[in-house]
Amino acid sequence: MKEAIENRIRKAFENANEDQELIPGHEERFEMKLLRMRAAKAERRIPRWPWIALAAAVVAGFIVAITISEVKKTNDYAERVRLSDVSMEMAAAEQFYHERLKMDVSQLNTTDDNIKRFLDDLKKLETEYAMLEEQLAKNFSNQRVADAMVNNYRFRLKLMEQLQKYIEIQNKFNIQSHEEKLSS
Amino acid sequence: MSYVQTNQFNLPNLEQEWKHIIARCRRGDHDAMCLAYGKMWKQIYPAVWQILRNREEAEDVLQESMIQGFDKLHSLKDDNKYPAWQKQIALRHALNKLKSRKSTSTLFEDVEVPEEDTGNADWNVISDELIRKKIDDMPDGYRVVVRLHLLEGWSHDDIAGELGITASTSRSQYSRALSKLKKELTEEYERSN
Repeated sequence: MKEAIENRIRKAFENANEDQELIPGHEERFEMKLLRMRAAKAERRIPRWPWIALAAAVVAGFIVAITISEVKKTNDYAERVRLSDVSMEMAAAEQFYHERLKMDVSQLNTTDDNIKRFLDDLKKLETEYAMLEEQLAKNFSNQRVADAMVNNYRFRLKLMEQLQKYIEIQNKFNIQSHEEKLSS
Repeated sequence: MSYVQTNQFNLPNLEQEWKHIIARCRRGDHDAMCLAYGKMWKQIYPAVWQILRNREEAEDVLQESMIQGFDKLHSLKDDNKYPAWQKQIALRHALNKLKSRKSTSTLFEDVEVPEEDTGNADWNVISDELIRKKIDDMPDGYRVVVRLHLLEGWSHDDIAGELGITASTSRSQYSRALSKLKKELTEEYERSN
């Protein structure tokens, strides 16, 4: 008897296009969620700055004599040092990212929570970058700070790409909704 | 045409296709992740919905568990098992959501055990749709155990482990759920005859 009812239930669900359908627009919502979660993950991967500062201080202790002479030679009064001041390779990296990060954000809809979060994240990274420039000025030969600056550019570029993708999806979604409204 | 039928003509192999998609997801390919979602949601959503019975929550669980699955792909040993593996993640996620809504004791609160008297009822004349609706309308504890044990193949030990109950509680909930359904279907049968 137990088997009979079990078999009947299985049959009722077999190949059944189970009655529940997702709410329209779920694929677009998934894509937005995916972008947000991956952006948040990328942000979490950013090294912890206090730890880097501490490590930089330790390294600086060992190479203080060289550092002082280098910094003095390069720029006696600099409060910040740019990546391009470090080496030709870093100058090329800075140029590469700088060009790609040019985006007019003034036209963006900042009432959209997701766009606002993207912009806040970008702002945080810019602040971190400025702090790194200051650290580099204090410790010119610290490769880890220079690497962190390159990574900072990389994360910002990634966020920018994700923001562009988000805007594309949203525009597509808005056009679809508009067309649906017109046709109904 | 179902996929099984398609394969009789040696057209694209599902296993190969999944291997390809999973490899791309492991590399963080955004489009491959969306493709995987497009292929998986129909398999996962009904089960998650049946556990939660709330469309918005079920959508959140489906989507978050898919993203969680992409993050855990390094632990997937056999790419061909991805659909089943991903579904397990989603079901666990749905159970956690349900538990956050209700304590386990409320989830498995005692419901009156109906008398089992099915007479000569022929359940085959009752529509699949009505049977599914009867299960959907069951109390949470009954519905969840029927879904997991009978339709998803979970053992009572697995269900117990996931819900923090004993295997015997899971068994008794299951047995009560079947009794309740038998009674209701018999009543339906008698009404229609």
